[in-house]
Amino acid sequence: MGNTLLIPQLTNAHVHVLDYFLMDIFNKYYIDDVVGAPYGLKYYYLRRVNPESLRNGLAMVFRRIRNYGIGCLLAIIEYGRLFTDVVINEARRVGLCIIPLAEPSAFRVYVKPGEEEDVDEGFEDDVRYFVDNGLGVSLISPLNYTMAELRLVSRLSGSRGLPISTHVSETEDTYLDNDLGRALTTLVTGNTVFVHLTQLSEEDLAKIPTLPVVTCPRSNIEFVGRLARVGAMLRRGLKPLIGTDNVALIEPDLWDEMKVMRLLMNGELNSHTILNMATSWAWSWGFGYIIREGETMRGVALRIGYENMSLDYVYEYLTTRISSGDIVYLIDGSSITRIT
Amino acid sequence: MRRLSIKSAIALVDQELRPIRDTVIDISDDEITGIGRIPGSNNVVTWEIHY
Repeated sequence: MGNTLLIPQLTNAHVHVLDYFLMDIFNKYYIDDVVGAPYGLKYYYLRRVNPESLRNGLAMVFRRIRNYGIGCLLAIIEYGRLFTDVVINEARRVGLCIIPLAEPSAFRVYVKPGEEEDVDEGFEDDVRYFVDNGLGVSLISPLNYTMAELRLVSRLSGSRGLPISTHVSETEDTYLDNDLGRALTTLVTGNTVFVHLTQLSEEDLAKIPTLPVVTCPRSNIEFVGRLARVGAMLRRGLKPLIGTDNVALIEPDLWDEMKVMRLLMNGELNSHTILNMATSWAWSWGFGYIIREGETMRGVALRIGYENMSLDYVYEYLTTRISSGDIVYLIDGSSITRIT
Repeated sequence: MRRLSIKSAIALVDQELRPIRDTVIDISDDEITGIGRIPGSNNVVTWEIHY
């Protein structure tokens, strides 16, 4: 394969793919008006669109994602019952391993006092359908479901070993409404993935048990103007992963994400750690790949553009200089695909 | 059974992403069966770890 650097294919641990069609209006409106549930344009549109009409657009999104060297994707699927088939089919068509996280159609704008032990019939029906079909479950926020509903998801998904994903403390509002507290009392069994955690202090992070957590740096900068305390997550012993969040806003390119982390968090994160976040730490949660005997081969070969590169410099090279143009091959098992 | 050996100038291997030079990776039926210097599964390299 010539002068190449072979690494495991990357894992994008949090991405919304169904909003790609909103990219031209994303910066023109307040974020909740575009993607907020249930009144944002994304939800309004998805309630009306024929899933088949998104097939070609999704195929293009997934081809781009694949060509960034990504092998595994934790994808949020809004209105999961309607859109899981088309999303999963198109992702697999380009060779992506997709972890589908299907969002129930029923959720609450907010939970009223006295409702905490209620379970919406449509919500339960969706969750049981997802679990029976081997799908993970995506929750918008612990604030959008009653405590009984959160416990139900945890019990049903946890008993099958299926992942649950939920946004936690992405915005100041949700933090002040104690979404973390609700999550910690209901969702810590099973394979729950906490995403964003942008507002959490070191003390808050210390309360989180050893679960997969995901940071989305560029999205967090765009939406809320701050980064999660990834250094504190590491000190807590968590192994954070990296996501790119909304395709409508952020190009789902993990190389750009890693460069931003390297630049903005250099005091707390070194390049080796950043690469672990995008590869082997995801693997440790069952969401990605490493190159080791006995493992399925899922690798990406990157062109080395300089002579005599020192091994001491490899991690820095990857997080500062590599871009999508350096990706030359994807290796999937015994199959090699040249990326042009 | 489909077999393949690929060689790269540098590979990041194992959970620790250890960089090693001039490594041949043997693959059989999609699974990594050997990491060595020449094609074949029984030529495991000694890790050259440079941090």
